[in-house]
Amino acid sequence: MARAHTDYAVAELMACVMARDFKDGELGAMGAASQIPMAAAKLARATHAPNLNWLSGGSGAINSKLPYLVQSAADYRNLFGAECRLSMEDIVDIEVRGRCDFSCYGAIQVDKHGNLNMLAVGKDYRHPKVRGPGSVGLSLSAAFRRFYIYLTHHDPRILVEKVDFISGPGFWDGTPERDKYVQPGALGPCLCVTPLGVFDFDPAKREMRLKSVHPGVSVEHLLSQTGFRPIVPAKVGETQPPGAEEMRLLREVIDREGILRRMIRS
Amino acid sequence: MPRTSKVKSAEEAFKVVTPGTSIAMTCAHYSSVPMGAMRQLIRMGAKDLTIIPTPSAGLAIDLLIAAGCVKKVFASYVGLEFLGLAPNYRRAAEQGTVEISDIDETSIVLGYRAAATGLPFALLPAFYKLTDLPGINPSMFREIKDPFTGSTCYAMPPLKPDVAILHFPQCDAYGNARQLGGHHTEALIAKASDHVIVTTEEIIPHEQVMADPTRTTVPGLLVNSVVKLPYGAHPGSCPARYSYDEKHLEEYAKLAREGKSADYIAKYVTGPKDHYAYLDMIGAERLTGLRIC
Repeated sequence: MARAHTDYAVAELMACVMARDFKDGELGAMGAASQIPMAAAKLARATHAPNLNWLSGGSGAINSKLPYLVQSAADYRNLFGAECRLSMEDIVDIEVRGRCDFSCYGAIQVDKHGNLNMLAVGKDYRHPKVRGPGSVGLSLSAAFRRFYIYLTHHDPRILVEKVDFISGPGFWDGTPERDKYVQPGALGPCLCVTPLGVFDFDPAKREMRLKSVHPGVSVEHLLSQTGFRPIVPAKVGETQPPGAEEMRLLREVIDREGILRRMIRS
Repeated sequence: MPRTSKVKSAEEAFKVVTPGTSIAMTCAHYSSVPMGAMRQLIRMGAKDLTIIPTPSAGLAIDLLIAAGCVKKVFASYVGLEFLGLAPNYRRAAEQGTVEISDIDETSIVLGYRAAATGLPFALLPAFYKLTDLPGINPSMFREIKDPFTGSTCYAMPPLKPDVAILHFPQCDAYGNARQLGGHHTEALIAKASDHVIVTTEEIIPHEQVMADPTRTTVPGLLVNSVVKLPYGAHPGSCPARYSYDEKHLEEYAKLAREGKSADYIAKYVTGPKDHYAYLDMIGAERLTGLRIC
């Protein structure tokens, strides 16, 4: 058992949580500003999942081996050491058809059913409080076998009871109605990883359930920063910190420039 | 009789963009954004444009909005990626000064594909029912029944831009263009559009194209004009040539957030008399420092 590393940044911990959950032989898709999921994919390939295939968003790179992280998944440099350059059209075909095992999404609002909003905050769509960038590839959450939600801020304005608009459906209203309209085999959200902790989803209620809090974070603090009441089991564990080998890979191989170390200030 | 070159000056080529024109342009976040062309359009006083973007756009649209050139945007992602929301777009949307038609990545690709093939509409999967897109944008998403199985699907009108503006690292005088990085629907946009303008880092000899035709990614037969604009994606990136200029982008984003995009435009867009004066202002040291090779 690797000795726990104590000097890690929270984005590095988040990358480890996601990497451990990616399985060998899967196909994952990463979108814009995907520093954490890209690091996670590289970490999974370097450890337990050498057959993980991953797609680096706008660059079209399959299995990029760029030896450092860049800010943009669309960066041309992601093609370095890749196996293939897929066109945007090919990517849409592969994703809509339902060939991807997972994707990783952020959003401006996420609700307890894992629905994602990138459109607008506020009740009036024509005059919103905050206009988001738009829905991009979020509707494909209904085509991927499962999807991860990752947030760089854990904030009650982001984690809300009900999103104002749905760009990407999670479990929708929690009823089985959702299952009629998703692509075959699309199971919905699996984890929500934030700077404070990790949620999974209760399979019956289809609602977020607190899985673990990160070391040094109390359940009370996490709940105070969450805009809805998640399911809280009697015993909430602590997120397993990065091991020595995970940290070596992140610092010396995957993210030598320290993008993850700088991206979330706690 | 010699074959006619399609190489034109920027002024000549962009005359086709008139008030009310719908334009599409290459872009995957900061990659291949035809910013030189956007600055030219602003200098020429473009207005009332409708923008039909790629799935991931932002910088060009935000600048055109700040310059008062835009009437309507079909939006999938309009943002500054790792620099956050697009401030001018955000303000225009919140104040209702620009019309927004929300679509998304899948519908853009399938919408261009329908236009490229000349089909009456794009066919979209049932999962749009689980999103708010049909509700907020009924003019673009119409629920229909699959005539074979009776199941739910959606129809969307084709995306057919009047003018496409596509930036490439290389192109010959007849419009045979080479994308050397990711393919961001530019070949599809070329087929979907009525008129295609290529801006290029370099005009390569036709013989070079003939020697290696498999590297042509947009054929000249779809292209109307070729404009040479070296560093024509700056402050964005051009695949296999140069990276995005993070410092300049941060300056852009800061001024935009502070509501000072007019200062940016006066300094970098309408200040310089043409593209080369802009490059002089950025400077050789900065530009050559961005080169990938």
